[in-house]
Amino acid sequence: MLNSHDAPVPRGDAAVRPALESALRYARTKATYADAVYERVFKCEVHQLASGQRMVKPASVKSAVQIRLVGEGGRQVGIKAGDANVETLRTAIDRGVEALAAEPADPGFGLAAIPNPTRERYGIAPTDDPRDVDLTPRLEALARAVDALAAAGSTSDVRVVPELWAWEQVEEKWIADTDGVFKTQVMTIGFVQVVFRALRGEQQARTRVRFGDVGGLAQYVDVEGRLAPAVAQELADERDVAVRLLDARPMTAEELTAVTHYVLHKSALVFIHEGLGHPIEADIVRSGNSAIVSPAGVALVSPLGSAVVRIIDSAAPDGDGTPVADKGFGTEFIDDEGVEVRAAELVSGGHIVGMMHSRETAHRFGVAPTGNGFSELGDRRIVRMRNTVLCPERGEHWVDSLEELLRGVTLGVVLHGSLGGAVSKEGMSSSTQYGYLVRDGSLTGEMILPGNFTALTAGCLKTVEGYAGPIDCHGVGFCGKGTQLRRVTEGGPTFVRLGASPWVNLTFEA
Amino acid sequence: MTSMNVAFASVRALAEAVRARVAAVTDDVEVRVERADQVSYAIEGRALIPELQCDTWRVAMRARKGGRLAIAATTGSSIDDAAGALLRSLSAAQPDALEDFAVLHETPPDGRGWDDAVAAMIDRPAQVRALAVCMAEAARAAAASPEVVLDGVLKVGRTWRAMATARGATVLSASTVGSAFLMVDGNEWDSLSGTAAPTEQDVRSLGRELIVGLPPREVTVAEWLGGPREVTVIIDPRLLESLLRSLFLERVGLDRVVSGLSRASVGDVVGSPIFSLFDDSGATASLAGAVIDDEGVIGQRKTVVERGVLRTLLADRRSAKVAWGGASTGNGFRLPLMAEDASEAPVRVGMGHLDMPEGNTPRMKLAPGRTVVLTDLLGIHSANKATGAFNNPVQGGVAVEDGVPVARLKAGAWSATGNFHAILRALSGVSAERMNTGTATLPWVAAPVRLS
Repeated sequence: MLNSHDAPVPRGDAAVRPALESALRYARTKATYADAVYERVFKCEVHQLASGQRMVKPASVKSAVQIRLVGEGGRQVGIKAGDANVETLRTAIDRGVEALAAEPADPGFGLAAIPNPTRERYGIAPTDDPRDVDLTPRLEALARAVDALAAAGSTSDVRVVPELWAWEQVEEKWIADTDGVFKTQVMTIGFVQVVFRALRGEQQARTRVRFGDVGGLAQYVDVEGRLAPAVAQELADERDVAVRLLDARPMTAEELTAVTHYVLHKSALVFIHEGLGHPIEADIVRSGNSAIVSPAGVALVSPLGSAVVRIIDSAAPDGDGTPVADKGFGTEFIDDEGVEVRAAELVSGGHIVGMMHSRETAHRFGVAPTGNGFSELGDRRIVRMRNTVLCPERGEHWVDSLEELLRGVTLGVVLHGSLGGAVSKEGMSSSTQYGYLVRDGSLTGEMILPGNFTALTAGCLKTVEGYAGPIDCHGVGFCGKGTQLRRVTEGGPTFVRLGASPWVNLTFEA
Repeated sequence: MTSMNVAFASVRALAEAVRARVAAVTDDVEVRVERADQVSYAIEGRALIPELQCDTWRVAMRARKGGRLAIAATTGSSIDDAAGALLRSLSAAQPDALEDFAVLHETPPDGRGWDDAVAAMIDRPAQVRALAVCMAEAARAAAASPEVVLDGVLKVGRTWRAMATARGATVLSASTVGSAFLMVDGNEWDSLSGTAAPTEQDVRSLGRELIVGLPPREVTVAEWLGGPREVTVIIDPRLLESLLRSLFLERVGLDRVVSGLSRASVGDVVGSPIFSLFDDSGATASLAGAVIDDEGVIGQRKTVVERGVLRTLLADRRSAKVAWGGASTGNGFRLPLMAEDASEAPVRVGMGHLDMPEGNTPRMKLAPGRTVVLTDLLGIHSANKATGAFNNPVQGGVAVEDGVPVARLKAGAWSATGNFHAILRALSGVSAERMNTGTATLPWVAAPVRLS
C-alpha cells in the first residue's frame, strides 16, 4: 500500500543500487546534478490470434536506464542506456557529457524538489509472483474460457472468432540522484483484451473489451479458467453485440442533423483523455501546442465547460470520486522522477484550475510537481496522464439511472466503446464501437454502427448537462505521446449527457 | 566510437551463445539480436531537447520442441537473461503449424542500409543539434508570424543485427537511419526519412518549404465546397502509404486470409487498371528493406498488384506453410501493435518497401476545379480494418483550384470518409511525380472521398 512501511524491495536491489550510486558519483564529477531511473519489467503473456494460433510467453524481460545530466546554466541532456552495469552507465554518461557541451545555457531550466526525499520503498508485493510461479496454466485457461465464450455465441450462420491478448507483469523501478535521493517501487499489473469478430458471409463486425488494473490476472480469471462474474458478463455482452452489429445501421443524415443529445457510456470517454487531458499537460502547454492554455499557463478558454464539469488526473477514484491509491491501470505510487503521485485537479466548475506536471514543468510554472513525470523504459521523462476522470461534484445533475438521464432527450444516441483516439492541437477524434438510438426520452432497440466522434477542445465540454451512475475508470488503454507509450485509463460516471453543439460531431463510415 | 567489427562480434556472440545454451533441449531455435545507438533532438516550441540512446539491445527468440513453439524476448546484453527466458518458455510452448525455422546461408555482413556519415554523426551530437536548429530556424524565418508553433525531431541512429537458427550460418546486417520531421501549429507537417544522413540543405529546405507551401488563408468545408460532399481529391503519398499499410495489408496479407478475415485470392480485381503495386522487402537504401526478414527469409521484390489485379498475397513462413505448403514471400516481421515492444511482438505479415509506378499527369493537375490535397488523417489506426472504411478528421491539407493551392484546410474543421478498397478501384489519376518516404516510393493519386 502507498503508506505501508513494509513495501517490497525490488529483486537485485543489492546489485542495482551500488551500480546506480557509482554511476551517479561519476556523473557528479562531470555535471552539477544528475538523476537516474532504472526500470525492469518481467512479463507473462498470451496472444491468441484470429487464426487460432496461440502464443504463450511466460518470461519476457525488459529493462533500461535513463540518466539526466544537468550542467551549468541549466544545460541538460537525457541518455538511455540498455544495461544497469557500471561500465555501460559510465560510457553513457561520457556520451551525454559530449552532448551537454553542445547545449546552450537555459536559465529557465530547473527541477522542482522531490517531496519526501528520505522515504525509499513503495509498492505492493506480488501475490503468486510470476517470476516464481508459472503463470502458463492460468493464461491457457483464460484462452480456453474465451474460446468457449465465442463458441457459445456462434449461430448457424454467424461464426464468432475471438482474439485474446493478456498479460501480467511485475514492474520494478529504481530512482536515484546526486543529492542522495533513492527510491524504489514494485507493482504488479494485469491486463486482458478480447476482440470478438462476428463473421457472416462477406460481412464482418467486431467489438473489443479491455480490463486492466493494479494486481495480477487472478482478479479476472482463476487457474481453472473461471472468469470473474463481472468479466464473464461483460465479455458475453460484447460478444452478442458483435453479432447484432451485423444487422445494425448508421444514423441517417436526417437523424444526424436533428440529433439533440449525445450520451456517452463510460467506455466511450476517450475524448476526456485526448481532447482535455493532453492540452493540460504542462509540457504541451509550454510548447504552445495547447489550444486551451497559453504557454504562460493562463487559460485561453474560460469557462472551458459547463458548471458541472470537473476533471481530475489521479489514482482511479471509487464510485463517488474519491481516489483509491492502489486502483487503476494508470496508477503508480511514485512517478519516474521519484515524486509521490497526488491527485491533480484540472477542471473544476467548468474552469481550468491546474495542470499535470513533471519536476521540470513544475519548476518552470512555479508549482509543486504532481507526480506525472513518466518515461517508457529508459526514454526521457515527460508529462503523462495516469487515470483521467470526469469526476463531478454531487448534485441534481448526477442521477442514478440512464432512464432519468434520458428525460427530455428528443433525439439522441448512446455511444459505447472506442478502438482508440487521436488528438491534434484543436481537437480530437475517437472511434465509437456501437450506439443505441434514443427517441423522446427512451432508449430504442435500434443499434447504430461504429462511427467517429470528433470534438473541438475549446467548446466540447460547454454542453455537458449531466451524469448517471457511479464513476469508473473503464477506458483501459495505452497512450502514445511522441514515441512513448504508457498505460492509462479514462473514466467518469456510467453515462455522460452532452447537448448537440457545433463543437462535437458524429460521422459514419461510407 | 563503436567499431563495426566489434559491434558485429558482440551481436553474433550473443545470438550464438543463446543458441548454444538451448541447443541440447530444443529441436530448432531462432535468435534475433539487435544493438542500437541513437541521437535525436526534439523541437518542442522554442525548446530543443537532446535525447541519446547508448547501447540498447533487443533479443527476440523462438524455439521448437516436439511440434510446439516457444517464444521469449529480452532487452539487455545478458546471455543468462536471454537463454533463461527461452528455456523457461519451453514449458509454455504451444502447438503450431510452423515446422522449422529458416536455414540461413553464409553471407558477408550486409550493409545495404548503412551510411557511414550517419554512423559518424552518432558520435558528434553537436552536428545533429546544428541540423535541428537549422530546420527550425529556416521554418521560423519563412513564417509570417514569430508566434508559429513548431514541433519536430531530427534523429540519426545505427543498428547492428545478428540472426541465428539451429541450422546454417549467422547472418549479420547493419543499417542506419536519418530522419527529420517538422509540424507547424499542430497540423501541417513534412518529413524526410531514409538510411542516409540528412544534410543542412535538406533540413533547411524542409523547414522553409513547409511554411512557404502553406497559403495564409484557411477555409472550412462550407466555404470551399458549399457543404459536405464527395469530391475527387488528391491523396498525398504519405497518406497513401498509411492507408496501404493499415488497410490494404488487411486484404492482401496471407495470414489474414488463413484466419478467414480476408477473402482475397490471386486474380481478384482489387484496383483500377492504373493501380500497380510492388513490395520489396529486400530494397536497398530503404528503412523497409533488409537482407532477410525477421524470420530469416531473404528479402525480395514481388508484384502485389498488376494493373488492378492481385498477383501476390504477402506471406510469412507460417501462413505460407498453412495456405500453400510453400515458401514465404519474405514478409514475416515482428510488427508491434499497441503496447508491444518490437522484440516481443509475434511475427506477423507486414509490408516491405512499397513501390507504385508513376503516371503521366502532373500531381496538381490530377483533379480539376475545386478540390483538396489530403496530407494526413488523424487516427488512421482506428479505421475499420475489416471493411477498409475510414472516417477521420483531416490533419494537414490544402484547398486547390485548378491546380493552384489557394488555402489551408482549417484545423479541426474537416473530416474525410471513404472506403480504401473502393478508392483503389476508383482511382482516376496517378501523378508523374513520386515521393520517397523512406519506406515507400509512391505517387500522388486522385480518387473520390467524401469531405464534411
